[in-house]
Amino acid sequence: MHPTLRRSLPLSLWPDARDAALPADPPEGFRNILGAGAAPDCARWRGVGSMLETERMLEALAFRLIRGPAREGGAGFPAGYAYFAQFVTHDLHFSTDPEFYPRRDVPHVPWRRRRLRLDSIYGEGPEDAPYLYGEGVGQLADWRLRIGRFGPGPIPRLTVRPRAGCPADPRAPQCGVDERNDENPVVAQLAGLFMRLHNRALDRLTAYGDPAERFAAARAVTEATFRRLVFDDLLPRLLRPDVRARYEREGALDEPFAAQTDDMPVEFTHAVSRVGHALVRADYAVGRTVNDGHAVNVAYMLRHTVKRDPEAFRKGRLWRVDWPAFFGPEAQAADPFEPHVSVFFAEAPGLMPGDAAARTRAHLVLRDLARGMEGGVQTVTATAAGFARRLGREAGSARWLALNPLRRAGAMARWIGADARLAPWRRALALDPPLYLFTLVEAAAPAAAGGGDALRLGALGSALFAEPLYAARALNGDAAAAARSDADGTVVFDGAPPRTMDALAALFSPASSGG
Amino acid sequence: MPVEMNVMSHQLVGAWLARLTTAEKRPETLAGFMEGLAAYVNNALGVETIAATYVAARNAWRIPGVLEIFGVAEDAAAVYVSHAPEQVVIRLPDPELLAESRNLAVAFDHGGRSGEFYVDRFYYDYIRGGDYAPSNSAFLDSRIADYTFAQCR
Repeated sequence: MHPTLRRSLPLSLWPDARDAALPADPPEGFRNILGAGAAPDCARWRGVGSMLETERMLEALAFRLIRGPAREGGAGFPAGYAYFAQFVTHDLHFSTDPEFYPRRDVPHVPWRRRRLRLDSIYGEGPEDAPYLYGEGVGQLADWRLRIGRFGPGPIPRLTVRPRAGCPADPRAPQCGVDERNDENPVVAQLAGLFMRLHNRALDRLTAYGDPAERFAAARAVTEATFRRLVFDDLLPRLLRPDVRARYEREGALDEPFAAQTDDMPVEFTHAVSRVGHALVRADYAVGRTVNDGHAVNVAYMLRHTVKRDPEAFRKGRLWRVDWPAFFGPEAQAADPFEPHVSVFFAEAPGLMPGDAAARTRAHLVLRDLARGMEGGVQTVTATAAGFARRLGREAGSARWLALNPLRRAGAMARWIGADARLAPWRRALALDPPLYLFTLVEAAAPAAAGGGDALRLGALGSALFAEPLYAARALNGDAAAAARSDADGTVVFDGAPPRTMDALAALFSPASSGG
Repeated sequence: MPVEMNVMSHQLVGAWLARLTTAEKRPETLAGFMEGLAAYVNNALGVETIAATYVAARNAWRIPGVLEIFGVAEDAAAVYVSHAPEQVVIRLPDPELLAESRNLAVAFDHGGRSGEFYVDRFYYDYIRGGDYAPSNSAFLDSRIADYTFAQCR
């Protein structure tokens, strides 16, 4: 098997690794939620025994998730929030993949202290990672984040287009510090949006004479704005209101463990954060310069990044995202939260380097499910038990799928229905579904059943998504710095800071003079 | 309002058109055409999720990720034409779109507005080769879709 392809596949999909027994242990750098390490074997999902047989079941499941019927209508929020959530998950689990981030550059800073800090754009800062900096001219140039360009373009006077990345410098990764932020043009340009916010803050905070202090102040404003958008704009859209309110009041249950270890809970990384793939549309209207503003197929859109198609970008293709198409009242909607992933997305060529996904049977959904299996994710029963005391205090929670095994089995059985492919595993799936699948079924369930009405995550999905975010906020929040950044923010924003993504994007729209 | 067509999956749309070329019966309405295309795509991809819908607010028939036709009535008829020895079909561009596109071209040429005409990438991929290059059959189907639904912008 080609080494690059092998690297991109879950362990279980390597032909020589399919007979391993389950449950798997969380891989290095990961743990089970509500604990400092691996949960007991009996709490982790074991599928139907061996990886080989379980993988057959997951293939049938993936087939159903892609090919089964989908409901009409969109999610309750604009399409851009699915990509903002992707950007946030990258920031929570900063990548140190040695291929893109040389070991010598990895600093001795606990990773748990770097979450929600926008390290995915700042890297190690202007002194230790100068190749990420150097924008504009003057004394402050070395303190501005370098913004990649679309261009130079076919016309000499072409206005340069912002996007994440520094392709002009061979020492620099192509998309800021975290190569994952060049996965698709939307997340890449979201990274670019926060880079531009930093540069704007740096230029406006003239009260700071020392460049290093000015950089720190600009970063504080940028981080505070980012965190505000995560907690006040993104999460109200993704989470059930009652669960979110509980987390706002009481914080994360996982916080004591998150404070002890850098390891991330696999129930987040290998399950709930991946269900956002259901929100991806079959097509997107990207912007005025792309197909005259008309929609393009998602598989086609995804490849338009420096990472996926570097040659095209060297030729100066214009793929600027127009943010009103992704955030705000006129934006196209994300697809509904339900157990369905668009076939155009799931089997998009280019998701795996040098290979067509369908040829290897390793399309996106199967990889999602397989990663959960090999990641040692806990069973739904065990995961829900950990949250029972918290979620069980909500009105009507006795009827929630997460907390009521009988109702859960009924919901799973109804979803499986008469699907002949799933017939051999109907009982196993109804009683003990993979967490990834359950999170989607729960999201599509009515609110009274602990679901999200297909508009947002259900109760357990909301709690699992909330955990690392609220833990990171508790660990890395600094009240004094936040107060100072609020004062600085009024300078940066000419008043109140943006509280929604469309308000942030509007600061840098072509019509705005402030960018 | 000019009728506009937006092909998003050239290969699938072209393959459907190729099938209609030799079909004994063709859908007589645009609704029938779109529903037939949706069924064809479902079959080709092995799914049952693709559906054609009419979006009244935009006067558009739409199959997500595949094809959109704007500015049409829901019950528009579908007419199929080919050349014949006695009759050559010359499809002229829509005057409104032509004028708009001409203005754009002039602006692009003079640098008054950044950009260039958008061209679907399958041509580029075919010529360039590499991982994204379509097969010859896929390229043929894609071209069929492009020249059938091409318009002057």
